[in-house]
Amino acid sequence: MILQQLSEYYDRRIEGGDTDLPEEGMSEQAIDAAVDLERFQPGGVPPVLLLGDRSGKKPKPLRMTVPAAIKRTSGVAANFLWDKSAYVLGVKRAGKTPDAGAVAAEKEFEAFRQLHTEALAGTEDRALLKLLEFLEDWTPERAVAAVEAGEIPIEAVDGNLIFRFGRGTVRDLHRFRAARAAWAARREAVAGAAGRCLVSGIVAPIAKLHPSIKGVRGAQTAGASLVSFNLSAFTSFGKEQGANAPISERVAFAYGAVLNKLLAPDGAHRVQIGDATTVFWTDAPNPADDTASRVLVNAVSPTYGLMDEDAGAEVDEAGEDGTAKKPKIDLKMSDEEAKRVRTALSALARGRTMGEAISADLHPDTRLWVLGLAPNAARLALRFWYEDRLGDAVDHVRQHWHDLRLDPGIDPGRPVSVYALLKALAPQGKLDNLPPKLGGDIMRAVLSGRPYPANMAALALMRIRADGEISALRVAMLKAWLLRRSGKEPLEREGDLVSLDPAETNTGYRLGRLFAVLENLQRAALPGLNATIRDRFYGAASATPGSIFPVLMRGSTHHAAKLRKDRGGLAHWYDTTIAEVIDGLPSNLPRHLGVEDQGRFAIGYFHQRQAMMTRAPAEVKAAEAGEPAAVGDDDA
Amino acid sequence: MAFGVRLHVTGPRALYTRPEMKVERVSYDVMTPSAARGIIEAIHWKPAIRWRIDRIIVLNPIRFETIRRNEVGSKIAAGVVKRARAAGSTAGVYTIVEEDRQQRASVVLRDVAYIIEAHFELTAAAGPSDNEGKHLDIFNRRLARGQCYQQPCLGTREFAADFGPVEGDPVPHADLAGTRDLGWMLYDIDYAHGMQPRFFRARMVDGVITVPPPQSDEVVS
Repeated sequence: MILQQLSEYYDRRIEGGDTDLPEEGMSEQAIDAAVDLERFQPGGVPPVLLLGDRSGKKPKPLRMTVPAAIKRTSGVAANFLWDKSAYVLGVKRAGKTPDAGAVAAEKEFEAFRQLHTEALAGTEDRALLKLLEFLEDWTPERAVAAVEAGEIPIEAVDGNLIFRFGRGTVRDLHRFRAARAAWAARREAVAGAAGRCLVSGIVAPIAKLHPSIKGVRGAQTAGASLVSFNLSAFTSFGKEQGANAPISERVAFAYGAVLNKLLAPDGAHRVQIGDATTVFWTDAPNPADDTASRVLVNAVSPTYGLMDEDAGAEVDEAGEDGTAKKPKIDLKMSDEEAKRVRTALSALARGRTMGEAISADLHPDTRLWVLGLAPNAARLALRFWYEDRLGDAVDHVRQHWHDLRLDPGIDPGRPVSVYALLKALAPQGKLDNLPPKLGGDIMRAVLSGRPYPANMAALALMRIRADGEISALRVAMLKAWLLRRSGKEPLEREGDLVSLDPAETNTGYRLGRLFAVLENLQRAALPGLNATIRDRFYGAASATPGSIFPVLMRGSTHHAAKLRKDRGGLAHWYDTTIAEVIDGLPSNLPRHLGVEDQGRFAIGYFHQRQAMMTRAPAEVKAAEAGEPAAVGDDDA
Repeated sequence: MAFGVRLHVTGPRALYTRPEMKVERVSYDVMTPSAARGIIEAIHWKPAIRWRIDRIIVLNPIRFETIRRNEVGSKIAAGVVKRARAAGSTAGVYTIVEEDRQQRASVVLRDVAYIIEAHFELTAAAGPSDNEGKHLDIFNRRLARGQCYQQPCLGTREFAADFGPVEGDPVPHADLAGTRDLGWMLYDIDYAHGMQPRFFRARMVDGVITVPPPQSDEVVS
């Protein structure tokens, strides 16, 4: 499933001419410095040149493909033709602080020397012989002395080093034909026993250890494994390590390489949703695949859509000039790209297909894969896995935007990101405070078009009760949750609960409306009040209306009485509105409401409040002018 | 197929662990042949017979759910048990759960329903009193009564299976129409040869997975 799709994706990308992906047996690493072997004399110190961009405050090492890193779980093991300074030169820092002095790393250097004398024995290549000569001659003590004397730059210590050789055009040693041949021979020599690969089905050397996957947030920085058997309880039938799940080295390499590529921080394929680091990919040709992923990533990520509760504050135009407040994200896009993505998303929301909105290479039949990974110490756990036609996925995302529609407040033409939803559900707005699975569960619902997770509604209600913010986003989530649970087809539920529905007789909904009217009446009667009935009673009113509403109604008669003294027309308008809302209620109020009805309560409250904000003034004026009859049929 | 049986198996959750994702468990999309064999053997098995799974019919759409739980990280070493046996005392044979916690995630299947079609063969262990009709009758009687030697499960022990005879003619859900390649799937473990796993290329056609016989070329180890 996952491994198979990833390794096929690797092959597709290589065939499609992707030169960034490492070839088999190689891996991309950040290299800090190069040791110039050409100018090394026995007994002397070779020049060490710093690589990469060192102009900024934080140096950016050069990224290059080098022989694949060995998996160092514990203990000492050397890489081939490159490694940390402790291995290459035998020098490392005493502590972790930048000013800690350099000390000798004898064991590491010895491992490096031994590996190379063994692997390169009998070589006749001039460059490799020179390397052996260097390793034979060099000692860690000299390295320490050279660092202290400034002959080896301190920045190179603890960084990754490679070797270079040659006059004029200096070349990286690991790229030499002889070096590559030696590396291939070395890999063959240490290859595991052959077996049946359960991904590709062919008989090939089986990987003992699987590649480390880097870039999953919260996992160890050295990388974590998707496939590992790191404790005895995980093995069975006496098999060890990779033998528990025979996967060929080739497939293990391919899925590792491409997954690391997808997870690269500046990639177009990756987005963080809750605690799940999620990657998207398709089987479209190379550039279209990147674009499609970028668009989908943005459909759910914070770069686009409603950022905050104040629905009207950030509109499309704010983004056009590039000065809109940019959220903190791990996705780097130029302004031009951001604009393109935004246009594409709007087009999708309005019903265009991927092919029309973005690239002709994206047929609706293009396959889409979404993989969500979450860390668990040294291991990675699958949070969700989704495979579908691109066209269906786009339809589902669009459906999600439509289900969220609230009028006024949330308009599918300006889509809301999943990130914004999660933020509205999180205590203190911090996503870390959410239950770990929630992001993945919502994503699954969005992409598959299935009902939202049950705790989405429960959390929204809990947040509303806790901080009293009955925001458009929270209400929209309750609404979408109810719609999807109703089992109605998308077309049937199109107009449900979008805006105030005076004919809706659900008790929860009616009570929500009533509560909004009572609150407004109180505000009108007692302007400048610090705490309204909403602040004091919202939670109780929505959970146990039977015991709270009689109290509220009693209070409201006082408010109405006060209002009648100075603004008779308005008081009358409230009287009729309250009467009209109560009309649809049962005579015995329910003692408590369940989650669904509490959701309807919030929606009714929101609708009624919005309706009064936008509509009441004109009608109230009319009422005050002495035409109370016009108020009754307020939805004409 | 003269001695074939059919049974209907359902459950709220199932987990057919993929070998490559068995630490942070991820389920196969459908029931594996060895899981089907396990269910049947829980109902009736004797050394005299050997069950063969013929077809697995998937009835419900394939849906996943994630679960996270606390488990233990280590097994009690074989050496410890051996020593305990030699000493005739269980002193020292224990695991302290609190000190050996491992949190593990599982991606499990939701609301599964399958029809398993299988038959059996008599083995060399069959004596003169064994015959096909007898074992077939025993199985069908036990199935109808809901009897089992141990509670059959849907992949892992924590997801118990409800089983019974096939009533009516259930058909696979419309979502399952078409041909789907499920990749290489665990067929069974070859216990006779070093507990070697065997795999086959699973293909689902309109919800039906035809399981090849163990001797066929489609099953490889």
